[in-house]
Amino acid sequence: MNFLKTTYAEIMLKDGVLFFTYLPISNFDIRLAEQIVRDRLLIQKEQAYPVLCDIRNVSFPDVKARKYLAIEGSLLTKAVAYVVVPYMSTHLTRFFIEVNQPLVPTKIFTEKSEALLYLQKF
Amino acid sequence: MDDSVNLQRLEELRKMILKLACGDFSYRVELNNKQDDIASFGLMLNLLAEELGSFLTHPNAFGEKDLQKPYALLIDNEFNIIGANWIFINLLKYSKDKVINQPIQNFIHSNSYKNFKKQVRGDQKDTQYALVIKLILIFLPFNSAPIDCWGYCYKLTSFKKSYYFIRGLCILNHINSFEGPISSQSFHTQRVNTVLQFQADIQKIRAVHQFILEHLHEPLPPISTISRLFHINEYKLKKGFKELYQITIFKFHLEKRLDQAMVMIKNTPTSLKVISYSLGFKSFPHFSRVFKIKFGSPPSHFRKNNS
Repeated sequence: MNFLKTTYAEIMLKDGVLFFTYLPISNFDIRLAEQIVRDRLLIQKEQAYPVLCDIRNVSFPDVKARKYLAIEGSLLTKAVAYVVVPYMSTHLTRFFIEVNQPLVPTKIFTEKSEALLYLQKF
Repeated sequence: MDDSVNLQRLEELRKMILKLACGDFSYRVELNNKQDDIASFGLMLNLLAEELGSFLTHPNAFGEKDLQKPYALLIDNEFNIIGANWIFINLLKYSKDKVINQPIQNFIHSNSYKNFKKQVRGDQKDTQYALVIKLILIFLPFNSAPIDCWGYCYKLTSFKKSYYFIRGLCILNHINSFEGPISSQSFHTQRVNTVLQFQADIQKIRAVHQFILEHLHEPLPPISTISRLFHINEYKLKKGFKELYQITIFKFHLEKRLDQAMVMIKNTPTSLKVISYSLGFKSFPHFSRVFKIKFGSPPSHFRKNNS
C-alpha cells in the first residue's frame, strides 16, 4: 500500500518521500492529530521518510494537537517540509516550528518544488 | 473607508493585548478572510493566548504532567443542566440522575449563580464578542465544603435555542483568591522557596527539556553532564526542572519514551524488542517492566489488541 485516502488527508508514498496533502478540516484537535500519526505509521511500514506536508487547505491545529504533532508526530520522520499559501499559514507554521519545536528538521515553503529539493538532503 | 476599517481592526489588536495583560486568555481577535499584516498579528495573538492559557492555567506544569481533567457541563436557556461529564458528577458527589435535568442553581453558591446569570445575559447584547466568557463558580457538592472553580462558558445557539457549555478546572487548594488561578497572589505563593528566580535559568531548563525530547532514542546522560552542557548547576537543574514541569528529569525521559513506544506498538508491526532498543532501553525485560508500571499491562497486550 502506498496510498491512503482518509477524511482529512491524502497520504502517498512516492520516490522515498511521504506526501501528506491535507483536505479542509474544521476542527483540528488532539484526536485528529493521533489519527494522523496512526495513519502515517500504517503506510510507512516501519520506515522513516522525509515528509512533504501540504497544508494549504487546513485550519490550524489547537494547542494540544500542536504539542502532540511536535513530539509524537515526529516519529519515523527524517524531516518535514510544509507547503503553505504565501501569507497567513506561513506565519502560523512559523509559530508552530518556533514555539512547539518539532523534533526533526522542519522548514516552510510556498513552492512544492523547493520543498522537494529540501527533502532530498534527508 | 479602508483606513477607518483598518483603524478599527488595529483597535481590536490593542484590545486583545490589554486582555492578555489582564490575564484573560479566553479572548480572541475576530478574524476575517483578509490576508494582511493586521490579520496575521491577530492570528498570532490568538495562538499566543492559547499557549499562555495552557501554561498559566496549569501553573508550573507546561502542559506536561498531572494536569487535571476539566469538568464540563451543558446548560439550557432556563439554566437546567442537560448534560455533564463524569468529572463534574464526581465533583458534586451526587449520582448522575440527581444532577441531570436539575437547575444549576441547586449546585452553585447563590452569589455565583447571580454572577453567572448576569454575565451570560449581559453578553447577549454584544453578540459579536459573546463567544466565550470567563467565570469563577463556587460549586456546592453533597455533604462537602464548597469548591471554587473557574471555567469558560461558551454560548451555543441551535434552532433558536441557546445553550451554555461550561468547562474548567477546580482552583487549586492553596489559591484562595477569587481572581482565578492566574492572580498575582497565586504566583506569589508559587514563587516562595523556588530555585527558579531568574528567566535565564528557566530558559536553560526549557532547553534541557527540548534536548531530552530530541534525544529520546538514547539513554539519558548523567545529570552532571547535562548541567555542564547547559551551564547550569546540578542542584538548580534537578530542582528547577521538577518545579517547572512537575516531573523529574529521569521520569520525564522515561515517560516520553514509553509514550512513543506505545504509539509504535499500537501502530506498527515493529517487534517489541526493536522498539525497546530504538528508544534507548538497555534491555527488553526492563522496558517491559517499566511499561507495565505506566500502562498497567505489558507491551504484548497492546500489540495483541492491535492485531
